[in-house]
Amino acid sequence: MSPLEIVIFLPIAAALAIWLGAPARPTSLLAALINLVIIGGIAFVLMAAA
Amino acid sequence: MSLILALLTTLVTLAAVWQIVAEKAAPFHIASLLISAGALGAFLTTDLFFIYAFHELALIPTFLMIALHGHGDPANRRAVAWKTTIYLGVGSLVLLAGLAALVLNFSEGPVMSFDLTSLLQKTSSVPAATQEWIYFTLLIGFGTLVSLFPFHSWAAPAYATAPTSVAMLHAGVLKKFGLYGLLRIAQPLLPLGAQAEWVQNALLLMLLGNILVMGFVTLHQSRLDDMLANSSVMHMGYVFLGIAAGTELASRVPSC
Repeated sequence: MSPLEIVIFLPIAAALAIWLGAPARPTSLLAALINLVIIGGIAFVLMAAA
Repeated sequence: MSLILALLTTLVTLAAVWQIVAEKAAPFHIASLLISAGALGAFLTTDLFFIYAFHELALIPTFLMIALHGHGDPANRRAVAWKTTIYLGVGSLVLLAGLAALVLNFSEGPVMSFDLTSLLQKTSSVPAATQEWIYFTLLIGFGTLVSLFPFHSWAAPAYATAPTSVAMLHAGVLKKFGLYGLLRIAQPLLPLGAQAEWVQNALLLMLLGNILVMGFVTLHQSRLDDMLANSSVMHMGYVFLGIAAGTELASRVPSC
Protein backbone atom coordinates (compact mmCIF):
# COMPACT_ATOMS: atom_id res chain seq x y z
CA MET A 1 0.00 0.00 0.00
CA SER A 2 1.46 3.36 -1.01
CA PRO A 3 1.50 6.35 1.39
CA LEU A 4 -1.16 8.10 -0.69
CA GLU A 5 -3.50 5.09 -0.44
CA ILE A 6 -2.94 5.08 3.34
CA VAL A 7 -3.80 8.81 3.44
CA ILE A 8 -7.09 8.16 1.62
CA PHE A 9 -8.17 5.04 3.50
CA LEU A 10 -7.02 6.00 7.03
CA PRO A 11 -9.95 8.43 7.63
CA ILE A 12 -12.38 5.79 6.33
CA ALA A 13 -10.89 3.18 8.67
CA ALA A 14 -11.02 5.66 11.57
CA ALA A 15 -14.68 6.47 10.79
CA LEU A 16 -15.45 2.74 10.74
CA ALA A 17 -13.64 2.25 14.06
CA ILE A 18 -15.64 5.07 15.67
CA TRP A 19 -18.87 3.59 14.30
CA LEU A 20 -17.88 0.25 15.88
CA GLY A 21 -17.35 1.89 19.27
CA ALA A 22 -13.81 3.31 19.41
CA PRO A 23 -13.48 6.61 21.34
CA ALA A 24 -14.40 9.29 18.81
CA ARG A 25 -12.15 12.23 19.64
CA PRO A 26 -8.79 10.41 20.12
CA THR A 27 -9.39 8.19 17.07
CA SER A 28 -10.26 11.03 14.69
CA LEU A 29 -7.50 13.30 16.05
CA LEU A 30 -4.93 10.51 15.66
CA ALA A 31 -6.07 9.74 12.09
CA ALA A 32 -6.00 13.44 11.14
CA LEU A 33 -2.56 13.88 12.72
CA ILE A 34 -1.07 10.80 10.99
CA ASN A 35 -2.44 12.05 7.66
CA LEU A 36 -0.94 15.50 8.23
CA VAL A 37 2.45 13.95 9.04
CA ILE A 38 2.39 11.74 5.93
CA ILE A 39 1.33 14.54 3.56
CA GLY A 40 3.75 16.96 5.23
CA GLY A 41 6.53 14.40 4.83
CA ILE A 42 5.77 13.87 1.14
CA ALA A 43 5.68 17.64 0.58
CA PHE A 44 9.02 18.03 2.39
CA VAL A 45 10.65 15.25 0.35
CA LEU A 46 9.36 16.70 -2.93
CA MET A 47 10.50 20.21 -2.02
CA ALA A 48 13.93 18.90 -1.05
CA ALA A 49 14.19 17.01 -4.34
CA ALA A 50 13.14 20.01 -6.46
CA MET B 1 -1.51 21.43 -6.96
CA SER B 2 -2.80 18.06 -5.69
CA LEU B 3 -0.30 18.02 -2.84
CA ILE B 4 -1.06 21.60 -1.81
CA LEU B 5 -4.77 20.80 -1.64
CA ALA B 6 -4.10 17.52 0.21
CA LEU B 7 -2.02 19.47 2.75
CA LEU B 8 -4.86 21.97 3.11
CA THR B 9 -7.33 19.10 3.58
CA THR B 10 -5.32 17.45 6.36
CA LEU B 11 -4.84 20.79 8.16
CA VAL B 12 -8.54 21.67 7.97
CA THR B 13 -9.52 18.13 9.04
CA LEU B 14 -7.32 18.38 12.13
CA ALA B 15 -8.82 21.79 13.00
CA ALA B 16 -12.37 20.55 12.30
CA VAL B 17 -12.17 17.43 14.50
CA TRP B 18 -10.29 19.39 17.20
CA GLN B 19 -13.14 21.87 17.67
CA ILE B 20 -15.92 19.23 17.94
CA VAL B 21 -17.28 19.55 21.48
CA ALA B 22 -20.79 18.08 21.07
CA GLU B 23 -21.97 15.69 23.79
CA LYS B 24 -22.75 12.86 21.33
CA ALA B 25 -19.77 13.58 19.11
CA ALA B 26 -19.42 10.32 17.15
CA PRO B 27 -21.58 11.33 14.12
CA PHE B 28 -19.67 14.63 13.80
CA HIS B 29 -16.30 12.83 13.85
CA ILE B 30 -17.46 10.14 11.40
CA ALA B 31 -18.87 12.75 8.99
CA SER B 32 -15.73 14.90 9.19
CA LEU B 33 -13.47 11.89 8.54
CA LEU B 34 -15.57 10.72 5.57
CA ILE B 35 -15.59 14.21 4.04
CA SER B 36 -11.82 14.33 4.56
CA ALA B 37 -11.35 10.90 2.94
CA GLY B 38 -13.50 11.88 -0.05
CA ALA B 39 -11.65 15.16 -0.54
CA LEU B 40 -8.22 13.49 -0.22
CA GLY B 41 -9.27 10.78 -2.68
CA ALA B 42 -10.52 13.34 -5.18
CA PHE B 43 -7.31 15.40 -4.94
CA LEU B 44 -4.80 12.55 -4.94
CA THR B 45 -6.07 10.22 -7.66
CA THR B 46 -5.42 10.69 -11.39
CA ASP B 47 -8.36 8.58 -12.58
CA LEU B 48 -11.41 10.59 -13.67
CA PHE B 49 -13.85 7.97 -12.39
CA PHE B 50 -12.32 7.94 -8.91
CA ILE B 51 -12.02 11.74 -8.83
CA TYR B 52 -15.80 11.93 -9.36
CA ALA B 53 -16.63 9.01 -7.03
CA PHE B 54 -14.52 10.31 -4.13
CA HIS B 55 -16.13 13.74 -4.44
CA GLU B 56 -19.57 12.15 -4.19
CA LEU B 57 -18.39 10.21 -1.10
CA ALA B 58 -17.59 13.55 0.54
CA LEU B 59 -20.95 15.11 -0.36
CA ILE B 60 -23.22 12.46 1.22
CA PRO B 61 -22.18 13.08 4.87
CA THR B 62 -22.52 16.83 4.23
CA PHE B 63 -26.20 16.47 3.29
CA LEU B 64 -26.91 14.14 6.22
CA MET B 65 -25.17 16.32 8.79
CA ILE B 66 -27.01 19.48 7.64
CA ALA B 67 -30.36 17.66 7.86
CA LEU B 68 -29.76 15.79 11.14
CA HIS B 69 -27.37 17.93 13.17
CA GLY B 70 -27.45 21.40 11.58
CA HIS B 71 -28.13 24.69 13.34
CA GLY B 72 -31.66 26.09 13.57
CA ASP B 73 -35.05 24.45 13.73
CA PRO B 74 -35.51 20.99 12.17
CA ALA B 75 -37.86 22.15 9.38
CA ASN B 76 -35.44 24.86 8.24
CA ARG B 77 -32.35 22.63 8.27
CA ARG B 78 -34.19 19.89 6.37
CA ALA B 79 -35.22 22.46 3.75
CA VAL B 80 -31.62 23.69 3.47
CA ALA B 81 -30.35 20.08 3.22
CA TRP B 82 -32.81 19.35 0.41
CA LYS B 83 -31.89 22.52 -1.45
CA THR B 84 -28.18 21.70 -1.15
CA THR B 85 -28.79 18.09 -2.21
CA ILE B 86 -30.80 19.10 -5.28
CA TYR B 87 -28.35 21.80 -6.41
CA LEU B 88 -25.23 19.69 -5.89
CA GLY B 89 -26.94 16.54 -7.20
CA VAL B 90 -27.92 18.25 -10.46
CA GLY B 91 -24.48 19.87 -10.65
CA SER B 92 -22.85 16.47 -10.18
CA LEU B 93 -25.04 14.98 -12.93
CA VAL B 94 -24.02 17.75 -15.35
CA LEU B 95 -20.41 17.13 -14.34
CA LEU B 96 -20.83 13.40 -14.90
CA ALA B 97 -22.26 14.08 -18.38
CA GLY B 98 -19.28 16.34 -19.15
CA LEU B 99 -16.74 13.77 -17.90
CA ALA B 100 -18.49 10.99 -19.87
CA ALA B 101 -18.40 13.13 -23.04
CA LEU B 102 -14.74 13.88 -22.36
CA VAL B 103 -13.78 10.22 -22.00
CA LEU B 104 -15.86 9.14 -25.03
CA ASN B 105 -14.38 11.84 -27.28
CA PHE B 106 -10.83 11.21 -26.12
CA SER B 107 -11.06 7.42 -26.51
CA GLU B 108 -9.85 5.74 -29.65
CA GLY B 109 -11.50 2.42 -30.45
CA PRO B 110 -13.44 0.32 -27.96
CA VAL B 111 -10.99 0.78 -25.06
CA MET B 112 -11.85 3.77 -22.86
CA SER B 113 -9.25 5.41 -20.66
CA PHE B 114 -10.06 7.39 -17.51
CA ASP B 115 -6.42 8.07 -16.72
CA LEU B 116 -5.66 11.79 -16.73
CA THR B 117 -2.05 11.29 -17.82
CA SER B 118 -2.94 9.27 -20.91
CA LEU B 119 -5.89 11.56 -21.76
CA LEU B 120 -3.52 14.56 -21.76
CA GLN B 121 -1.56 13.02 -24.63
CA LYS B 122 -4.67 12.99 -26.87
CA THR B 123 -5.69 16.64 -26.45
CA SER B 124 -4.74 17.78 -29.95
CA SER B 125 -6.89 15.15 -31.72
CA VAL B 126 -10.24 16.54 -30.48
CA PRO B 127 -11.95 19.20 -32.71
CA ALA B 128 -12.36 22.73 -31.34
CA ALA B 129 -16.20 22.71 -31.46
CA THR B 130 -16.31 19.50 -29.40
CA GLN B 131 -13.84 20.92 -26.89
CA GLU B 132 -16.00 24.05 -26.54
CA TRP B 133 -19.23 22.32 -25.57
CA ILE B 134 -17.52 19.78 -23.31
CA TYR B 135 -15.65 22.62 -21.57
CA PHE B 136 -18.91 24.55 -21.11
CA THR B 137 -20.64 21.45 -19.64
CA LEU B 138 -17.73 20.95 -17.23
CA LEU B 139 -17.79 24.67 -16.38
CA ILE B 140 -21.47 24.44 -15.38
CA GLY B 141 -20.90 21.17 -13.48
CA PHE B 142 -17.81 22.30 -11.59
CA GLY B 143 -19.26 25.82 -11.33
CA THR B 144 -22.36 24.57 -9.48
CA LEU B 145 -20.11 22.79 -6.96
CA VAL B 146 -18.14 26.03 -6.48
CA SER B 147 -21.33 28.15 -6.27
CA LEU B 148 -20.75 30.02 -9.52
CA PHE B 149 -23.54 32.56 -10.22
CA PRO B 150 -26.44 31.80 -10.94
CA PHE B 151 -26.02 28.32 -9.38
CA HIS B 152 -24.93 29.74 -6.03
CA SER B 153 -28.04 30.04 -3.87
CA TRP B 154 -27.46 26.73 -2.04
CA ALA B 155 -24.11 27.78 -0.59
CA ALA B 156 -24.81 30.57 1.92
CA PRO B 157 -27.71 28.85 3.75
CA ALA B 158 -25.80 25.53 3.72
CA TYR B 159 -22.73 27.06 5.40
CA ALA B 160 -24.85 28.97 7.92
CA THR B 161 -26.86 25.82 8.79
CA ALA B 162 -24.23 23.07 8.68
CA PRO B 163 -22.46 21.96 11.89
CA THR B 164 -19.23 23.91 12.31
CA SER B 165 -16.87 21.02 11.48
CA VAL B 166 -18.83 20.16 8.31
CA ALA B 167 -19.00 23.82 7.25
CA MET B 168 -15.23 24.13 7.80
CA LEU B 169 -14.51 21.10 5.63
CA HIS B 170 -17.03 21.95 2.92
CA ALA B 171 -16.22 25.64 2.55
CA GLY B 172 -12.50 25.23 3.24
CA VAL B 173 -11.73 22.10 1.26
CA LEU B 174 -14.54 20.52 -0.72
CA LYS B 175 -15.52 23.71 -2.51
CA LYS B 176 -12.01 23.89 -3.95
CA PHE B 177 -12.70 20.63 -5.77
CA GLY B 178 -14.62 22.48 -8.50
CA LEU B 179 -11.73 24.88 -9.07
CA TYR B 180 -9.26 21.98 -8.93
CA GLY B 181 -11.33 20.13 -11.55
CA LEU B 182 -11.38 23.13 -13.87
CA LEU B 183 -7.64 23.74 -13.54
CA ARG B 184 -6.54 20.10 -13.49
CA ILE B 185 -9.03 18.50 -15.92
CA ALA B 186 -10.88 21.05 -18.08
CA GLN B 187 -8.14 23.62 -18.80
CA PRO B 188 -5.31 21.24 -19.80
CA LEU B 189 -7.52 18.72 -21.64
CA LEU B 190 -9.69 21.25 -23.46
CA PRO B 191 -7.47 24.30 -24.18
CA LEU B 192 -9.43 25.30 -27.30
CA GLY B 193 -12.70 25.13 -25.36
CA ALA B 194 -11.31 27.38 -22.63
CA GLN B 195 -10.20 29.96 -25.22
CA ALA B 196 -13.50 30.08 -27.17
CA GLU B 197 -14.98 33.59 -27.15
CA TRP B 198 -18.55 32.59 -26.27
CA VAL B 199 -17.33 30.41 -23.39
CA GLN B 200 -15.17 33.28 -22.10
CA ASN B 201 -18.11 35.73 -22.37
CA ALA B 202 -20.44 33.36 -20.51
CA LEU B 203 -17.84 32.83 -17.78
CA LEU B 204 -17.29 36.60 -17.45
CA LEU B 205 -21.04 37.22 -17.05
CA MET B 206 -21.31 34.51 -14.39
CA LEU B 207 -18.25 35.61 -12.40
CA LEU B 208 -19.43 39.24 -12.49
CA GLY B 209 -22.64 37.95 -10.90
CA ASN B 210 -20.54 36.40 -8.13
CA ILE B 211 -18.49 39.54 -7.56
CA LEU B 212 -21.16 42.25 -7.91
CA VAL B 213 -24.47 40.61 -6.96
CA MET B 214 -23.04 38.55 -4.11
CA GLY B 215 -20.90 41.52 -3.05
CA PHE B 216 -24.02 43.64 -2.53
CA VAL B 217 -25.85 40.71 -0.89
CA THR B 218 -22.89 40.34 1.53
CA LEU B 219 -22.96 44.05 2.38
CA HIS B 220 -26.69 43.80 3.14
CA GLN B 221 -26.31 41.03 5.76
CA SER B 222 -26.68 41.89 9.43
CA ARG B 223 -25.56 38.54 10.93
CA LEU B 224 -21.86 37.67 10.90
CA ASP B 225 -22.36 34.01 9.86
CA ASP B 226 -24.58 35.05 6.91
CA MET B 227 -22.02 37.69 5.92
CA LEU B 228 -19.16 35.13 6.00
CA ALA B 229 -21.22 32.57 4.06
CA ASN B 230 -22.13 35.08 1.33
CA SER B 231 -18.63 36.53 1.15
CA SER B 232 -17.22 33.04 0.54
CA VAL B 233 -19.53 32.82 -2.50
CA MET B 234 -18.43 36.28 -3.64
CA HIS B 235 -14.74 35.31 -3.38
CA MET B 236 -15.26 32.54 -5.90
CA GLY B 237 -15.88 35.25 -8.51
CA TYR B 238 -12.33 36.51 -8.09
CA VAL B 239 -10.94 32.98 -8.42
CA PHE B 240 -12.95 32.52 -11.63
CA LEU B 241 -11.64 35.90 -12.80
CA GLY B 242 -8.16 34.41 -12.62
CA ILE B 243 -9.31 31.39 -14.65
CA ALA B 244 -11.07 33.63 -17.19
CA ALA B 245 -7.96 35.78 -17.58
CA GLY B 246 -6.51 32.77 -19.37
CA THR B 247 -2.93 33.90 -18.95
CA GLU B 248 -0.16 31.44 -18.27
CA LEU B 249 0.33 32.82 -14.77
CA ALA B 250 -3.40 32.74 -13.94
CA SER B 251 -3.91 29.14 -14.98
CA ARG B 252 -0.51 27.75 -14.05
CA VAL B 253 -0.81 24.32 -12.48
CA PRO B 254 2.13 23.47 -10.20
CA SER B 255 3.61 20.09 -11.06
CA CYS B 256 3.14 18.66 -7.54
